[in-house]
Amino acid sequence: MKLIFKLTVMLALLLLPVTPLWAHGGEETEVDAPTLARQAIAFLDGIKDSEAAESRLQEALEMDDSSLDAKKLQEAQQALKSKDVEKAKIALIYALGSDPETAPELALHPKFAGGGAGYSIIIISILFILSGLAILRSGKSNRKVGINHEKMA
Amino acid sequence: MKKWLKERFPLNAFNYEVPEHANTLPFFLGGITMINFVVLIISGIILAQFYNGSPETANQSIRFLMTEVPLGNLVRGFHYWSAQLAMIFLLVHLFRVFIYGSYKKPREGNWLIGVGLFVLMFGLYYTGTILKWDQEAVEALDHTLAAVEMLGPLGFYFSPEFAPQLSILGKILTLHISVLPIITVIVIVIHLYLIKMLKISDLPYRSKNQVSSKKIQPKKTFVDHFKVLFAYGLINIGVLGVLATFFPAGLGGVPVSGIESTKPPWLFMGVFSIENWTGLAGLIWTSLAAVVLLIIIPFIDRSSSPDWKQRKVFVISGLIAFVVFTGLTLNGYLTKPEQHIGMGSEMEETESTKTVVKTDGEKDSSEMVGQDDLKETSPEVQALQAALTIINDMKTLVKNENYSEALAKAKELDKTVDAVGDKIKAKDSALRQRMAEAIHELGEITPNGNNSGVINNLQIAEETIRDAIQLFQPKEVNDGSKIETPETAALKTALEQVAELKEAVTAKNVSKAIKLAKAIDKSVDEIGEKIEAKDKSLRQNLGEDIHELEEISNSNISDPKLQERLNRIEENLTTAVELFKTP
Repeated sequence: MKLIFKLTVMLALLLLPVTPLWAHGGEETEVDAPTLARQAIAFLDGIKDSEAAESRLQEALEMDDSSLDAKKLQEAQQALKSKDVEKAKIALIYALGSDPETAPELALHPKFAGGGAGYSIIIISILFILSGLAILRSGKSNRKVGINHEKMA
Repeated sequence: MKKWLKERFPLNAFNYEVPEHANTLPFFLGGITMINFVVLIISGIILAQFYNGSPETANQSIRFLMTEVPLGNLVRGFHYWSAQLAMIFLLVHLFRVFIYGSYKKPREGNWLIGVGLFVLMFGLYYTGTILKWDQEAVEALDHTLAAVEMLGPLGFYFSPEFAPQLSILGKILTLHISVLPIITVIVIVIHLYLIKMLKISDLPYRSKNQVSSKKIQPKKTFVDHFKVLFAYGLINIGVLGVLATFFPAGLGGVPVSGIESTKPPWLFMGVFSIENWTGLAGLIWTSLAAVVLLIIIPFIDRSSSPDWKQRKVFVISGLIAFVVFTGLTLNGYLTKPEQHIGMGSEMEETESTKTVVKTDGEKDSSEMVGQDDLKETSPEVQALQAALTIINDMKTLVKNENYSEALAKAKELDKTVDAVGDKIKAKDSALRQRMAEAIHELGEITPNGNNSGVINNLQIAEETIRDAIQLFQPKEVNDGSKIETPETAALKTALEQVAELKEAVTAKNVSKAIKLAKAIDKSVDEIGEKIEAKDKSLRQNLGEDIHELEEISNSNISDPKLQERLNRIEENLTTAVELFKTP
């Protein structure tokens, strides 16, 4: 009886996640052209959804909003058609009147820059790892020595 | 000297015996998690010196740290990677304790404390991801806020009624850097104290040493245990250094509203999968179910021994749970996210506040605006009409001195109007300003305080909203039709462009300003002759001022004369609009 109860609880809790309880919806308000361009960038930067980005871009173009550079928008559209996501993002940034070097709309992906500080940190880190391993090793050998002493005794 | 120190710091108290198996890696997982927690605190204190906790500047302040502050990337990398390692070791530690049955009598209480720590660490991880204030952070926060609405009073901390003067990011920051770490430290101390008092648990199987012989093992003390933990700590910090240097933490772009274009961090990918299938409510119930399951485990696994042979059901269930969690996580990485916000009862709106939707996926007509009369009005007018309804409700509430509900309505009003704020601003920035100020004042209603200015602010809000509705209504011209003349349409476009140009000038965005100046020139040129026919000097003044705008550069964008010129253009364009209204 207890086993059945336990199994039921476990099964219920394991199956709970896969029960489709609620239908999907979606709520988006109408937005202006610059926001559509930003949404397109977010789709390209985030889940790399070119399709969603393209539809936003198309809507932005249809709005014919003077605050966006239509030529750059078209350039972005062309880039998306030729699957050049990076070029599309840059064109969209230009369309918004921003500079791709500093545009906050784009994600920052820093890389290892090298330099004195970078290599020093690497060396120190490796020393930390080696020191830790040495301590662990000495602990293990002490244990073996301890066991041997016990055997000899 | 040694004696003096020993007398004053009696560390011998830690020289108590621990079992041999306590010095194996599975029994250091909690300790390594704690080391990462210490790294998180130290690196977090440094990061906090550069973090600006306001939504407008949070993302930028991190960008500044990453690009301008020496070693900023490294410190952030340490913080980021120690958070990842802490959560990995925490999960494995929890799993080890479960599989080993280390929660058995008399350690049930410490298991519950451990579950509390698990929840606290999740909270710290989650709030940390929000502080980045990028697209992923805001989408995660939107989910939480929607979930909070579903939880009702349980989510009071995030509700606008609680500390309305503080932004939601401010609340998250407070949780991340003070409330949660303080509680976590206290709970860790209790956890460690109970480990010391209840001793380290037995193995659920017979170890090789136990099986092979009855050899006398050298006694192990906690000091030996600590030495090994220290070694693991050094390795852990070394690994952190390598990861932080070679793989610095990234940062998403500033958030944009209305979409779900990111996936959550790996830790939440499992529940994200569930949410993708079942909706937001599935996320909440699964998370709650997981915690409830963890809490009840010691009370349903009543066998006295941790021996695996006597706990087959639980060990197998644990392994299945691990496989399911891993599968869900992988599934999350492989599937495209659905749009979740707006699902379920939490987003039920009055028909009048619904706006026409544009979704990524299929468009469901049942989700569109329900009332026929609303179909003829623009989304802006619908939103503004909804705002008027809220104002009427507020008037009644204020009359009945029900200020707490009035405050909640004020927040709702702010949200409703904010949705069309940019559109109003583009048409009449001064009107938008007056409206925003009045609504902002309404947001400062105090439930028991002096609210003498509320009626006046309600009045201003109502008037400005009514004016805004007029801006979005099709204009009646002399023949009574709803068609606008090409001249007034062009002039209004030019007025909108001037309003945008003013914003660009305020933001010192030279490239955008030049672009807009050209656009204004084009708009006015199209009807230049018509204006000239009605008022030659007006056309000349407009032409001169607009021509001068093309000289905008970095050196003169802050010049007050530019602002004066823009005001003059705005006045002249308004005069021109009047000219074309007159037959």
